[in-house]
Amino acid sequence: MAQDDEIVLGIDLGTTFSAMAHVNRYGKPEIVTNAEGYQTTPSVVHFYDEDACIVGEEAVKMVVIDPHNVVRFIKRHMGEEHFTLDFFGRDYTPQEISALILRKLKEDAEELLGFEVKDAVVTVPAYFNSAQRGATAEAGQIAGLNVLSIINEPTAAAIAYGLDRIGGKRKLLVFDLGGGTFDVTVMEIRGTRLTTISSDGNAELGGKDWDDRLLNHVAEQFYEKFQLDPRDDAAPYQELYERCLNAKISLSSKERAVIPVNYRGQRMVVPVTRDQFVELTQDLVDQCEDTANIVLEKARLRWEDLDDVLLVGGSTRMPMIRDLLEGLAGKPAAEGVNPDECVSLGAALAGVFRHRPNHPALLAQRQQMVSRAKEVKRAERKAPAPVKAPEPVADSGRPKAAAIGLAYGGSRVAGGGAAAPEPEQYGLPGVTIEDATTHPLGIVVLDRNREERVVELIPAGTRVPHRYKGRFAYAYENMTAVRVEVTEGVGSRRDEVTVIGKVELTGLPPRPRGTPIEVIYSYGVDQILQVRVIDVETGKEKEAQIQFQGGMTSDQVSSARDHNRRMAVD
Amino acid sequence: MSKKNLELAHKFAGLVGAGNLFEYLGLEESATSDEVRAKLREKRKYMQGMQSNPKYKTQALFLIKNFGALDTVLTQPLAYLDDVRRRQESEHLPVLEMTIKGVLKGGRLNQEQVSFLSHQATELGISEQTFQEALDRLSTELGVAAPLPELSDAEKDSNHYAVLGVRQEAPRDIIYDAYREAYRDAKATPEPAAARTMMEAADQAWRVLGDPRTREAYDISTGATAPPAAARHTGPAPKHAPTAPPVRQRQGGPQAAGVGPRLEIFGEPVRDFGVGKGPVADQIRLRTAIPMSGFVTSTAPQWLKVEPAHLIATNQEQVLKVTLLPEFEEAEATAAIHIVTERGDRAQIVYEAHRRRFSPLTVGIAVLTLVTVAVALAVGSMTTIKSGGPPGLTIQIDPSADDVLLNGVSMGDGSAVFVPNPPSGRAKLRVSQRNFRTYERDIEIPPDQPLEVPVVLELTEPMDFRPSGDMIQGTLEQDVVQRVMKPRSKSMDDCIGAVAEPGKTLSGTVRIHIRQSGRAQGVEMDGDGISNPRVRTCLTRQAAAVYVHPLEEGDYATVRYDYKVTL
Ligand SMILES: Nc1ncnc2c1ncn2[C@@H]1O[C@H](COP(=O)(O)OP(=O)(O)OP(=O)(O)O)[C@@H](O)[C@H]1O
Ligand SMILES: [Mg+2]
Repeated sequence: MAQDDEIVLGIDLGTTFSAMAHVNRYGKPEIVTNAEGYQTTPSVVHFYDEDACIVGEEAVKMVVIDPHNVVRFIKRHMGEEHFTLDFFGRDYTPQEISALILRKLKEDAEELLGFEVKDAVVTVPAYFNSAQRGATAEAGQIAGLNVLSIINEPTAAAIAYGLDRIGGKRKLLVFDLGGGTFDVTVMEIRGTRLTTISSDGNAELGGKDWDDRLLNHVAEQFYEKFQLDPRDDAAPYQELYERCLNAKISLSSKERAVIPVNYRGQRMVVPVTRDQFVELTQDLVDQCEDTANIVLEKARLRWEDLDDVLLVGGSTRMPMIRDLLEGLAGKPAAEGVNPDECVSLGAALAGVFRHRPNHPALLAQRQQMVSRAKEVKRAERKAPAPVKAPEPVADSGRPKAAAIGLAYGGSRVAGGGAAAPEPEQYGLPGVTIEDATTHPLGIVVLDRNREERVVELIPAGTRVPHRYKGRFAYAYENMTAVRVEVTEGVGSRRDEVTVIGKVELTGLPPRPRGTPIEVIYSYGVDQILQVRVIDVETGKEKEAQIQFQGGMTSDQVSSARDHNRRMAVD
Repeated sequence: MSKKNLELAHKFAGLVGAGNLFEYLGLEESATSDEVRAKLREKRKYMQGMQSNPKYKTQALFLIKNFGALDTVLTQPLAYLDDVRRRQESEHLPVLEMTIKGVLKGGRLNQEQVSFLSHQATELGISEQTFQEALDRLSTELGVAAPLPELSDAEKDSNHYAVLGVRQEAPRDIIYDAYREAYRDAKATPEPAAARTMMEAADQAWRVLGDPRTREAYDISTGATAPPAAARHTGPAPKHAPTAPPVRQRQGGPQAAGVGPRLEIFGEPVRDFGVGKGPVADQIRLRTAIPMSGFVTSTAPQWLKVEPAHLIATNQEQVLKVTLLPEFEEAEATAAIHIVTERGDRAQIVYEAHRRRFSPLTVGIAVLTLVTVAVALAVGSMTTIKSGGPPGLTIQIDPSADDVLLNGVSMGDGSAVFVPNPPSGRAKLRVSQRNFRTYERDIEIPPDQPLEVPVVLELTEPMDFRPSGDMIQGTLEQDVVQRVMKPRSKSMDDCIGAVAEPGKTLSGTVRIHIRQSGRAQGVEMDGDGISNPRVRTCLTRQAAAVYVHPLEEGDYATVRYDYKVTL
């Protein structure tokens, strides 16, 4: 059993940048800086030998010099079958490459904090499917981390943001446009409960696509002039990509940027205005708008029903995105959130809420609540209100939300006139997180024509934990076994969905067609699906856990782990 | 070499705009396996640096993800290059097929035409073998005989089929066309004597073959047991036999003068079934020229069962009950049922069984609710219908059924299903067909008496789908179209036959629109007879029963049926 205050590292494993955070013993979430002293670490790996690599800023610099041994955007390939990259004669899976990034983070954190880091909560885009989640967990294992849970990035962001706003009831939209993925989630904060209402996104839309538009534009201009395409060679391409990326970032604060191109002895400077850039990427912005509207529609809300719009991810710094959301919501986005940090902060907090129920800061907060409730009671007893108090029952044990005096890290106090606590005073309110599924889970059945069909049992957007119980029947006479094939994805045909697990109940007595079989799917907060198959007549049953698989077997993971250990990561 | 890997190699070459992988890698086709593989590995390494490059991304990711498959393909470069050539060939094949069809439309095929086609094939880079196969296949389909050089002139004159240049199985309208053609050819012959002989021969042939009765007698007299209707067949015939003369081998055994021994089998000679967890029933209907006994055997009795094991000596027509059990080892199995009469006539029916992909766990909520419906329906809806005909239960389905279940056991499909020994008493009958409402009712089966149950299925929704402009027309393979239309075509001709006048030919086109799901969802008709609302309804119902495999997303397809009906 882990110590109650033992660290849980919250890790935002991003497509372009990764970040990490922890919750200190006073209950304050803090970013853990890397060895170079930065809040974020580029998710870039450069292999320079059979068993040595560099991760982060230094690796980015190598991209122009040694483009074939540098990996970027590996997150886009997580969970993809048959995707391996060859470095110095060894094939690496996306899990293994991500594991190298995770190892750098882990080691940097250990160095800064001065103790060993074992447990972690890693975030993934809400729209990731089970294979992608499974692969992320495998990456953690390879890096020697004990991944306690995988949580959704918008949920994590909402936790960090919502922590000093709990107690009331608010609806919030989290718009997360990162380097490679895009997620929109509507959440509700009610009391200390944080609930996901609806969510949608695109695991393949992010800042990189904006970069590429700029790059293609510039390359085309260059080609027109010199009939040469700088994209045709690896190193010049990488160099130009870096320039476009920088130009994109400067266009967020300036109206105009220039992109110098230098290829095969020809040079050219391409100026780009912000308006031009907007024009080049209009359809991407439209995609974002559509997704946001769909998510709201699914939540049965209008823009004006939202209390806050939370912008997460570096790409939301682009004025076109800020303008889009301001236009839609009719008000500016929420202030005071750092789009690069809030995901890892939230992950660290979630780690405490879920896996450290007796963290000293949580205990202290509970203690405070109890004593404050007593104080309120005493005060009321001394001076009873002339008019009957509207909520007299609230005194009996369960304090009113406004009176809780929520505090964390001593920096903020909500409501109730309580005195501001000392800096570094203990305290962290317990928050309950209710996530929702983003992909439907189903079962393969035979329909009335005895043809295979997929029936959805747990639809997307179902709040977890969730339990589904349903009855099925023998399709043929005298069957002696039934097989439950668990599917993920939208569609009614097997080839439209993915089978993520199987449970077989065998040794059944032969009986006629129509003999009932009961199937129970239980989906837990830890994203684990438990499947039970029960033969109603005999009571015989089988239960199994469907683990999200990223595509590597446990043997492969452990041998990858050995290799990872041997590898020098700078 | 695995087909899937070759497919990937082909796809990749297409993606990068190269004819083949050698070209992509900048190597001569004579390069060794080791050379190409090393080059491919090098290329993959290079592409690793390009995988985020928008211009090369698709190519790079394809190469990275399918490197293993491509590498395997290049371990056998010769087989790979051979496959490339074959693919190029098959790309041009449809063009050749169209040319062949155009020529065959004439109903006949002579040596001159064959050499013309052969030349075309060479032009298109199609090998002689592929050309021969295509020609054989298409001439079989269209009922046109290839030229018969191996027949002597004397033989030719004596064989009516050879005179007209048609296959023995050719339907009557093809024979008629061929006769007209032969007559015209004869007229055009400059030598009057030869012209007369030709005309007489053609006339004589038509007189015999034009009338089903005289044609039958002629077939018998020549010892050819293949009957005129396409639905019948005789035992093992060579696979590609269009160049062979019409079947004329005599069956052994004692013979009554003038009447050859014969055995007719109704239905398909090769039958394909999906077998799931339970047994699947089928039947073989047969007729012998005179009542005679015989033996019936299965080559794989452990999964293909047939009953009875002998022919009933007093019956001319009989039905054999076939049961396919899921007892075969592999995913697919093939076996045959052999029928040998006391006179030595032989027939074989080939059964191809494939395991139906299914999870034993099944029938969702849908069926459970259906059961409830069935129970509710059963009250007061007992039916006993028309008796007569052979003993046993005959279920006549209009238009046809995908599956006929009696007490939950599959009895077969098609537009008529015969159950030789049905359980007597009350039974649950269920008939399902895509696009039609599932028909369910309880029937009372009298012991030892024939019973015929007509079932008229109701369309679930009107067939009013028309593809809109933004839909993409998907392609259906020709064999798929044939497979789905074959069981329909006779019934569709019957629909039109209802308004046909003797001697007049009605022709037209029925176009069936298939939705993405693979179901027929609309019909368009154009031609003679379709102004009659009864014909329209009848055709629509037949069309509604057409089902192909599901199409690509957003696609639709059309199946065209050209009818030509003469009474
Ligand atoms: N000022 C800016 N203007 C425009 N784009 C920016 C700016 N700052 C950062 N970005 C872009 O934001 C992206 C990185 O954002 P972030 O770090 O949130 O993504 P990530 O977490 O790595 O990716 P993901 O969440 O998709 O996995 C990059 O594409 C980067 O170019
Ligand atoms: Mg992110």
